[in-house]
Amino acid sequence: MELLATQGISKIFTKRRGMFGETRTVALNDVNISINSKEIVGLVGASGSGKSTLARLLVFLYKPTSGKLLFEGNDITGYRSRQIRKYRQEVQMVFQDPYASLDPNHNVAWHVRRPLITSGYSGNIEERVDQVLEMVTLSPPEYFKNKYPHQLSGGQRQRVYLARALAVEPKILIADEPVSMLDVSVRIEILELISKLREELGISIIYITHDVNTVSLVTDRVYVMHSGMVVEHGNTDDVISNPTHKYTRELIEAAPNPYKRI
Amino acid sequence: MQNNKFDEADNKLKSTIFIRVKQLLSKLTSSNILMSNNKAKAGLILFLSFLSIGVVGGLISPYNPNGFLFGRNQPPSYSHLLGTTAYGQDVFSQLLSGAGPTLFVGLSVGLLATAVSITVGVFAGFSSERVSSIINGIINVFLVIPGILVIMLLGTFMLGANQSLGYFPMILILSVTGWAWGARTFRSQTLSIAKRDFILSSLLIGESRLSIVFRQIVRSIFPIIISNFFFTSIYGVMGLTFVEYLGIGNLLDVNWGTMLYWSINNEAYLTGLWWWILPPSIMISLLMFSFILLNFGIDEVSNPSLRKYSSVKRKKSAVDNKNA
Repeated sequence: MELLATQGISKIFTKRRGMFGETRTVALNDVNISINSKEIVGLVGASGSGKSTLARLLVFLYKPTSGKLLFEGNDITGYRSRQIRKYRQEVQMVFQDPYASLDPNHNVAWHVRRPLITSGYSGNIEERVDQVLEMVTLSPPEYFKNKYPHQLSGGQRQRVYLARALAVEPKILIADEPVSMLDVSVRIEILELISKLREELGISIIYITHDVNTVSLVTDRVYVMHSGMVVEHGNTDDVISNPTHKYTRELIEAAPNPYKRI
Repeated sequence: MQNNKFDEADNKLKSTIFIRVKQLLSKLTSSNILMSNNKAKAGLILFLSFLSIGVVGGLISPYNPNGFLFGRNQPPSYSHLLGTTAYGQDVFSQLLSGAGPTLFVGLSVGLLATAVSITVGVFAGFSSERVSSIINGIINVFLVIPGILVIMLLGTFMLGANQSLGYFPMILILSVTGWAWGARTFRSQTLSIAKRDFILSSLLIGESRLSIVFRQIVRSIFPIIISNFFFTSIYGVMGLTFVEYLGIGNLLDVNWGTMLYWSINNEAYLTGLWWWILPPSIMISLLMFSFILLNFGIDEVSNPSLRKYSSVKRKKSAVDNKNA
């Protein structure tokens, strides 16, 4: 079942220059993507290819210039503040930099508790906090609950953020380069955690990255983006082993090969 | 039975409140925010002593500060610790009971103006670009209104109507003219914080803007708020002193400003009555000094790049490194 889809979505940033002139930057140009339930979809592209803009459009941080957003078959492009708030409980986002996405003045428990409170969680909130922290393998939860972000490592912070995003049981998780700021040794743990969460919770994940290696590791399908357009898409294995577009080939060749000896 | 239950719940509530208060107290004392820094420590001690003089000064002053009870121009002695004025008033009593109003006006201006500037500044920084620029324009207008001149204008106007300017109108005018600096600072700070990921994250989680403002933004700019409070209090004390010194306020009120006014009007500096003119001047300077010390101290604590590490610590860590 198609959970979230875009239909010919475009985003043009205009910047005023003086009185009459303006510069237009086309960030997205006629992009069609879709994600089915319980699927991990990759968005690959170099910096400036529009993949983060697309992620921000999907959570209503930007409004599209043209095109449609479909969620569970309904057109949600014109959603207003209250509808957007409800929609955001279904679609959550994980940020790139775990050092910036947690409030340094609040502890771990606060970060996981707040979304539960704002969404009006009916059960025992503290129990749910423990449960979510266990889920992202931060155990024992009592040990982590009173820690502040500066007392945690990058990987632990990203787990806390995952817990915060997953606390309200979203249907889709948008992960915007979730491992690019992390140590290479920690990356695989987070990626395994993401795959495990998909199995256990049955959520869909949009995994955004510039790193072809990690894409082939976790995703089912992949969209390759270049200067605001989707240039190629298909099953991850097919695209990686048999790229048709020139840009995809360049991207795959540019990825470092771990088996190559210097 | 039911009554018992109610008592139980009541006790539980009381104990949780008690625990909360205890936690807060232990946090305040163990956080070492003010005690870890020598400047802040000195400033705090000075400020607290001023505060206690301000609170009890009027009660423990040995004589009526406004009574013309004694011989004129007497130098300091055991019965008059700071001598008497040219009108036969006891200077020490005046100094003690003058502390209260001076501090009250200063701190009220600090509180009121800081409250206004938090509200205006933070909301300006966190609202849309257009609203933000409109509020910025308003802030800039208030920035150029000279508070003391407005008070002088109003004071002379009221003198013409045979009335004198009380403390409350003064607090009001100083607050109205003193909030703009803080608002400007808070606005720019909020602008920078509002773009960070953790605020964006809270928006996505579904927090209301009000909650983000008070739970996250105000909390992250708290050191700046404290520093702004002290600076605005300095402005309040200065404003009061200056206005009273010019003789625009009520001259029968006893505060450090009117003391300066009377002593200078009677040319105490020419007739050698140093015990009349020096004490209020020194007290005002020390009060400012305590505010500034506190400010510097808090700045150093909140801004790690200004923090100095003692050489002892450094040596110890070097030894540890060697051992490791």
